[in-house]
Amino acid sequence: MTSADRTLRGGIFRDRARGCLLGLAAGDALGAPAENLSPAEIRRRWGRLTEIEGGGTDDTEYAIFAASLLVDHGHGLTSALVAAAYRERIVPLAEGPMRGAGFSELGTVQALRRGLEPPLTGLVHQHGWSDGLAMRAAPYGIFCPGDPGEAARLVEEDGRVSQSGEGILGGRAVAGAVAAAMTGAPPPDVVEAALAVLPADSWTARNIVRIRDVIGAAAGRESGGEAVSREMRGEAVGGDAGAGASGLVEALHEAVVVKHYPWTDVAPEAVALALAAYLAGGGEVEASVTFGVSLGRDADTIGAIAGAIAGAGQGERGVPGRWAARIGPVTGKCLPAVAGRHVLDVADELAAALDHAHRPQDGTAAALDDARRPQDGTAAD
Amino acid sequence: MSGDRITGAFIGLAVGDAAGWPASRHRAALHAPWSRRLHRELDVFAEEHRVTTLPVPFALNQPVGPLAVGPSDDAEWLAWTVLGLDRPRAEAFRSLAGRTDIRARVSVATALDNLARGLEPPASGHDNPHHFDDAAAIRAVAFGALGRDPREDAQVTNSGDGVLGALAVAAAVAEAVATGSPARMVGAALDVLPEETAIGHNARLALKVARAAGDPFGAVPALDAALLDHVYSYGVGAAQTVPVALALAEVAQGSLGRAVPAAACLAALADSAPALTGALTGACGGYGAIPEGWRAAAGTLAGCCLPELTGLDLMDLTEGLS
Repeated sequence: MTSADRTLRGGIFRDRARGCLLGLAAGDALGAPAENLSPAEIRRRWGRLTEIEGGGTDDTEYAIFAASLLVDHGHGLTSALVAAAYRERIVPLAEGPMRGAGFSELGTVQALRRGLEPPLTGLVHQHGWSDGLAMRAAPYGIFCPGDPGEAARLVEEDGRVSQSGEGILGGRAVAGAVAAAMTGAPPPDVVEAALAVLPADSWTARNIVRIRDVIGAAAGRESGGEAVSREMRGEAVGGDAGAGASGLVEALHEAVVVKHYPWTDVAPEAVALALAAYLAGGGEVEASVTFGVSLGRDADTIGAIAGAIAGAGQGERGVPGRWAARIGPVTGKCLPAVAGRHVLDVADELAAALDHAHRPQDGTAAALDDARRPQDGTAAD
Repeated sequence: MSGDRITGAFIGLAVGDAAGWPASRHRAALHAPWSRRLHRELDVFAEEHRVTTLPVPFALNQPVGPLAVGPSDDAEWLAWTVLGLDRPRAEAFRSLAGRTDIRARVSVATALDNLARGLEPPASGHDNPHHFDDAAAIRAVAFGALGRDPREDAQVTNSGDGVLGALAVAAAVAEAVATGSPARMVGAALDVLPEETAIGHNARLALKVARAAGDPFGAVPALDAALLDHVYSYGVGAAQTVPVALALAEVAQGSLGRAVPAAACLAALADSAPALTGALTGACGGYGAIPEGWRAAAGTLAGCCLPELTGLDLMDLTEGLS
């Protein structure tokens, strides 16, 4: 690779990284007031929820934390290093109220305080299947553009600290999807990439297949196209915002929502609904995120995941400017260790780290030579 | 003697079920819905007025019988299991799908939904937010007492630690029925619990802290500190309740009267840990070792989860099994 190629490649990935994390933060913030509301209640309150009302939540802050792990350790990240980072940066600050953090993260803090090590830290609490990893998985995809398998391997190193089973698979699916989207792959291929890093005999894979069938049937009925129409997504049409979407929303709920459980952060459900939103929106950030948020349930996480995948595909300009303008540095309300960080700075750091990174196990001799050249270390700074 | 111990396992479970505070909450389901709505309103009142006199299940213009000491959800689901033991398990559960008059754990309710949408075991128990709970472990008392394999049953509603909990309880009860030895019972359970699983780790940890305490009641704070998940919102995780039951049964040397009250003191686990503890110790000591007053109080089902079992006498059910 010539240095001109490298610069071009770096510029594209930097733009997609910024789009990804900006999309994540925007989806998180847009969805926050809709979390745990029914789709009907969301329609009653907002019609279509399209404007960010307040700040983001744990999704953005934990994604920033995950990105910092990658910047520090690259492809050498291990569960032990992640556990050490928890002990150093999360556990000591977890004394007061940790607003917005999920069961899995707080259960992990308790397990770490009891002296356990991964994978037991993710196994002994009872919320290992939560979407706590999926919500912060996007940076792993950014870091492994075009390599969903490596993104999934890396996110699992993180996930074994706080999750188990389907919670880890949810993270793998999102990291794999973002890794594919970072190459500009079309949405059906991105969803296929998510499925490819999951065991077919898993709850998450079954749910993704179900939502793909629902979206496919809806799109097929309409136009034979890949995405569904604005009416089907419930975008404002003739002042009747939202009414057209109820059929598709109901079908998606029927396909994957767990009825007899009161918590909504079930990873196989949230990840499937986020991918449904991404498919329904044809990979466009605004369409994907607003439809995702209209689904209710864990709306902020659904919005964050849909926004991250769509943003990775479309780059920074894919995120509506009015949303980008609402995204400032995070407050650290869920994770004090990341207070003051802005997702765009984090995206730039990830892109720079990606530029430096090489994986010994798959590096060709030329790539290794490239990476070893001393000027490479400074050229991209 | 083993017949006495089989009966002891069943009645012991019902005694433990009755001894935990949640029993009266479950049994209050037999009252008119408005009385439970009133209960919720009293809870709000207590919160708003900062009065520490907490509301309890009550029977205003309702029969008082359901609120007497007696068995509830776990004893009923065990009885349901015994009554249908020879049916293919998925078929037995599928016959409940769609019913609106039953009450069950999250794992069972979700499994019934899964079966109704065509998802068969083991996916019905796996694609389940409460795959880890102890619903199957409770039913496994029946399989263990009668020397049967609980796996096919467990996989309908549970997965992971939930299935391991059932295997451990069945192995423990089978060993206790055969030998009456608490030590051999615990050994049989540990043999099927891999150390690297949460339930396997917790079982060994619970035994360690209970042995160090040397006494079931004395072990309560140590078990709470070492084992309980104070973060999560439900207390029926097999990785907590099964280890607590094993540890208390062993440190009580198989005495139901010493182990069950200690299990009932772990408030967060009091829905099912006392029931499992009662089953294990009942199997060790046999029916004859269960205090007479408790035998009488725990023997008749209320029908608070499965209405068709209302009035069923557990002694009638267990006669002929052994």
